[in-house]
Amino acid sequence: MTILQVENLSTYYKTDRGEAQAVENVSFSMKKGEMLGLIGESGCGKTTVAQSILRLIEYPGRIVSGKAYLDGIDLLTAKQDELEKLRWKDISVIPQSAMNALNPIYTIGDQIVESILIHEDVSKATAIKRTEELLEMVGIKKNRFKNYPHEFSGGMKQRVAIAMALSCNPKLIISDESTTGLDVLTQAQIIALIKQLQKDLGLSIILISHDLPMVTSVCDRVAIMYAGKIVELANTQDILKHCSHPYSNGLLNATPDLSNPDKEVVSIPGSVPDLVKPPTGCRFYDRCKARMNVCKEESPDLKEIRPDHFSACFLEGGGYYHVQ
Amino acid sequence: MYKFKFLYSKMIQYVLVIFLILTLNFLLPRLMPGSPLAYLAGEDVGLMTSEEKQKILDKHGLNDSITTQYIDYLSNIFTGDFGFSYQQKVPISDLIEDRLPWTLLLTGLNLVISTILGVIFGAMAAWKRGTKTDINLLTGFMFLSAMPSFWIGMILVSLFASKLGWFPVFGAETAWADYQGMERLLDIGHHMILPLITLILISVTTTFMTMRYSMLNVLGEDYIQMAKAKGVKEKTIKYKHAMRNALLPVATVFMLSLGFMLGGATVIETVFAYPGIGRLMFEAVVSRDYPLIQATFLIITFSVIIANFIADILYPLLDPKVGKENG
Amino acid sequence: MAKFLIRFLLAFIIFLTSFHPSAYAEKKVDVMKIAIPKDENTLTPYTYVTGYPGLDLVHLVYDTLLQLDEKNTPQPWLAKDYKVSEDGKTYDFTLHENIKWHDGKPLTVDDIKFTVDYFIKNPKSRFTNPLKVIQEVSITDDSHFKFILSEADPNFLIQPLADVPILPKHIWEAVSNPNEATNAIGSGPYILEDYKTGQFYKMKANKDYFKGASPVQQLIFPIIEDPTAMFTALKAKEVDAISSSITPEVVSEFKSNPNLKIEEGPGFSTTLFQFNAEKYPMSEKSFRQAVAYAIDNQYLVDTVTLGFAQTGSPGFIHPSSPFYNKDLSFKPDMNKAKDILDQAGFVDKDGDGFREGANGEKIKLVNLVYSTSPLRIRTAEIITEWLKDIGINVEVRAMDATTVDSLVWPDFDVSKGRNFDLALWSWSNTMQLFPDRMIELFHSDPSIGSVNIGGYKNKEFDDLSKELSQTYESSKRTEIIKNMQEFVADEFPIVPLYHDKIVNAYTPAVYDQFSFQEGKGIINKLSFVPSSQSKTATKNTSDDNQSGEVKTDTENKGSNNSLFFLVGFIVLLIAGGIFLKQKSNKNTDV
Repeated sequence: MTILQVENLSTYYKTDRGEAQAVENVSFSMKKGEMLGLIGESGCGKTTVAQSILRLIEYPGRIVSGKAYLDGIDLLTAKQDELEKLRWKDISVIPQSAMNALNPIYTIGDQIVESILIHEDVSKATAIKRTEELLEMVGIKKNRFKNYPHEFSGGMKQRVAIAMALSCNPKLIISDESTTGLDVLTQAQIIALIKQLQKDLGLSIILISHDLPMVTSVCDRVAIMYAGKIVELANTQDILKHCSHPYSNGLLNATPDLSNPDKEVVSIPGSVPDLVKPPTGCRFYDRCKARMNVCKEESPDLKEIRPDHFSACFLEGGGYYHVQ
Repeated sequence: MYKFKFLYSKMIQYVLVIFLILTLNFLLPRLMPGSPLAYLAGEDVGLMTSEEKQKILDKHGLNDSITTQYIDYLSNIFTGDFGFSYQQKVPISDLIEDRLPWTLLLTGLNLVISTILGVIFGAMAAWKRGTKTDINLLTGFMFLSAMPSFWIGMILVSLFASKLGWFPVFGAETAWADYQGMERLLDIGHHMILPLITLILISVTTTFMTMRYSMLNVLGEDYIQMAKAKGVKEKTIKYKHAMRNALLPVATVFMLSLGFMLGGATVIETVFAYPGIGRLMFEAVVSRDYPLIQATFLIITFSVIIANFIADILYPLLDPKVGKENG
Repeated sequence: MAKFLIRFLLAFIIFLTSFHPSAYAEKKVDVMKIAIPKDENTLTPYTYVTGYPGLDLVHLVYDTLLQLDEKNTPQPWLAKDYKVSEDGKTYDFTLHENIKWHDGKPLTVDDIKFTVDYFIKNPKSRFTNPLKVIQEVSITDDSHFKFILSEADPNFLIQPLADVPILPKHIWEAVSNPNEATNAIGSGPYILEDYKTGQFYKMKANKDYFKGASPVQQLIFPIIEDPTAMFTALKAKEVDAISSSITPEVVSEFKSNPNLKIEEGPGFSTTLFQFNAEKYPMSEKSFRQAVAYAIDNQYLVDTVTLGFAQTGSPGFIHPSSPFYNKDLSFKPDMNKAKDILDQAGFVDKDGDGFREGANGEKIKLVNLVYSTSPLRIRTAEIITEWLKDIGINVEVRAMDATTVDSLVWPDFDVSKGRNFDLALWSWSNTMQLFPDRMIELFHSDPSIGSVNIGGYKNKEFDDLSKELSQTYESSKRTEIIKNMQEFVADEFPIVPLYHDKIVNAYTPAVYDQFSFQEGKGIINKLSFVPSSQSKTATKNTSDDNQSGEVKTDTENKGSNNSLFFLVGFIVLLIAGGIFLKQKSNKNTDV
């Protein structure tokens, strides 16, 4: 059953030189209980997609067009008070750096309690009890309820953020680069925790990251973004074995492999196009080894090249197979 | 035990600072050219013989060596004896008792009101950044801060007191009318409005700017976006989450201003003939009234130190991150 | 939020208008408020602060044996009658009977004798010095007593007789420290009721006053230190008169105010240009003369004081004095000034536009002036420009009074030397009180020339001084005094500039029986003892403002124009606020 359906989402940002088309015509859907990975390099627009869905985009950014149906309700056109009700209760966020996402002058317990009390009609005592449960769930002793954010390490703060995101039993959680900035061990712990919670609670999660190996290790499906567009969307196995889009292939090739230390790591030459004046054709044109003339004039849409496997490329079969 | 050592070293710091200030307090007035002789002797100083003049100087210890004067000065401070004013020939403690409350009333109310107004408008401007509200507020306050204080005061007096007659021109109250109770309170209030408004107009811009800047900083923080994502109501975000954080620098400014409350209203006291301590200090300096200069400067010193002390204690209560260094 | 604020502001403004002064029932019956600029301490003869208006307030509370009238001629007061002996050494007095002190006790000849003895024993220079000439006070009976002097004193009638307040023996015999005295019980037309330091004095009319009770039941003297605040208070009718003179630039504004009356009259303060005669080149007569010729007094009077001053005489004595030498003629002449300097050897040798000294030394002078008086600073600047025009390098330096005093008159003791070149100086009216003050101004011996701040030394003048102090016959005295003026108009130890006129303003609807005392103004004793005012005294009221049709309408608060302006301004504010709010609504992102 589809829990989230995003259709033709476009978000632009005003800059000195003009408006940057940060997210262009992004569409995807998500099933209940699924973990969807949204991957891409810095600046590809993945965080913008998440913020757009939550309608947190502010000047100088603006949502130009699109729809984001969460369980039938379009988040992008809902009224302000309805939106405030939906936020956190139906869709919550584990933010990018919990370092700064927690208000420094309130205790972590209070902040979690606050999110509960806004959305659930319960007494404060009940909210506190639930908060303590959540903290235990993420591995934090409940006697730390009254501590302030600056009294926790980075990893602990991230756990607090996870607890907070779970506090209202949301339908969908967006985990926006939740492990960026943490050391490798802690990263692993956090990801394991998220995966565990997903299994136990049947959560639907969008996992946003630039860490391909990590995403492929835990996600059910993966969407790869480049320069504001989704270039490939498939389940994890298909991405790994039948990777189609030239960019996706480039990504895979650029990833070192622990099991194969001698594998050559190849980077993709060139750089991301200027989003203020994006090319009329495929945005990957300049860096694509397999480019054709048509790619320069027209911009390819996502098309289904195999069952439930989409790629945005004019190549026969949506690109070429990843050669292992 | 650790805490004791910490308090002890802080106390030593304070004592050293106080001692230094006391010494400067003594030296600086005496470094000015001229002497208080004219004020001590009265209007017929020119008619006096040399001996008579020396006698007056002797009487006030002004012919003693500087060391002797210094020691007298220090011992007087410890006994709390402020002495007599050269100019007014009344006990200085009486003078201060009479005039200090007026300044405190004026500057105290000003501090509170202008801080509240500055916070409200600063938060408003920051929340509505870039809109007409923000631009107009910014322009308005900058315009206000460019105007000299005495000019604002004089315009207000000229228009509202002189031309329209809505408010009195001078004084803290109609002293000779001998009002009691409620009548007196209303009379004082009536006299206070114009000088208070002038003071507020002068002081509010600083708080406004500080608050606006601080609020803008806070609004750009991730936890504000987080709060929005959580579905916290706009009003709650503005007041509970953003403002409380943004208030921290404003609180610092407020506490520092506490110390300088006493000296800050001299110009206003002059324009409105308000019998405060600021004007008293100014007169003291002009007439080289050493004991009065010393006494009034001492009071300011202590109020600054006390304000600092209060700030040291209160700040950790506002900001949990501060004050835990010793823990 | 904005809406709330606008509503609040509106309500607040409306709230403020409720504070209309007529909301308070002030006791208006026979009360007069006269603003004074300084706190005068407790009003005893030992503790008052300024010569004016302080001493005049003291004179409202105390009485003197004689009293100066509007023309400063001594008239009998406490002394009903008096006779002076041929040799001028014996003064016979008849005291009024039934004079009471404020506490009800009678004023007797014992009080007179006590006063003389007390002032001699406890010096207060202004009163003590003139009393020193009394050799003996002899009491004949309850109403008669004599002062026997060691030598004749031509000024005795004025000082001490019309100056020294008589003290109540039964109070002051117990006062051992007069400089901290607080008991101001006197015999005068007013009783001091209340005094709050820095705020006000309250006096009530002495109903039993021997010359009749004052028509003003109560006098209140609020202390307003800032002159502008004082003027505004008068305009706003918060005070009915002020003791200070109105400065020239606001006179026309006050004259056109229908609620106020203006009285002008001669003032006796002297504004002058002071030389340090001990320092070169001010030590040279030629230099000083040249400077005198470069100064156009009439121009200063017209431009700086806007006509509200009397041009000074080169001989120093005020033109309305009976001793004034009217034969002195002096006309400023820039060319003559330059000639004098040329001939004296002050020539510009190095071509920098300024003259050097006779021996080629560079001349660069500093002209000191009090920073507190804008008019004086202007005068100093204009004179400096003239001096530059005749080739003298001068710079104006305005500094606070205490500092200037410490340079020009260190320790107020001329024997201590001096540290200045030129100064724009002024003496108060007491310097013109008697002409023999000139001796104190220019005598070379510091103990005699006690105010010779220029350190001027000239034997010829000293001889004239000696002659004057030994001459008692009035026509001979006048002769010598005129010679002294001639001397000053030639030697120029100083250059007298002008004498500020006194311009007083008051609300005639409250009280209109002031008497203008020359050199002082309307705040004096006689103003409150109408029976003693001379009916022939000249009153110089301004032409634009004849008494009579004075609006007593207290509701007349300013023109309607300003009210419209204010209302319009508020409307604009509100309109602007609403406009802003609508605009800003459009700008917030959804």
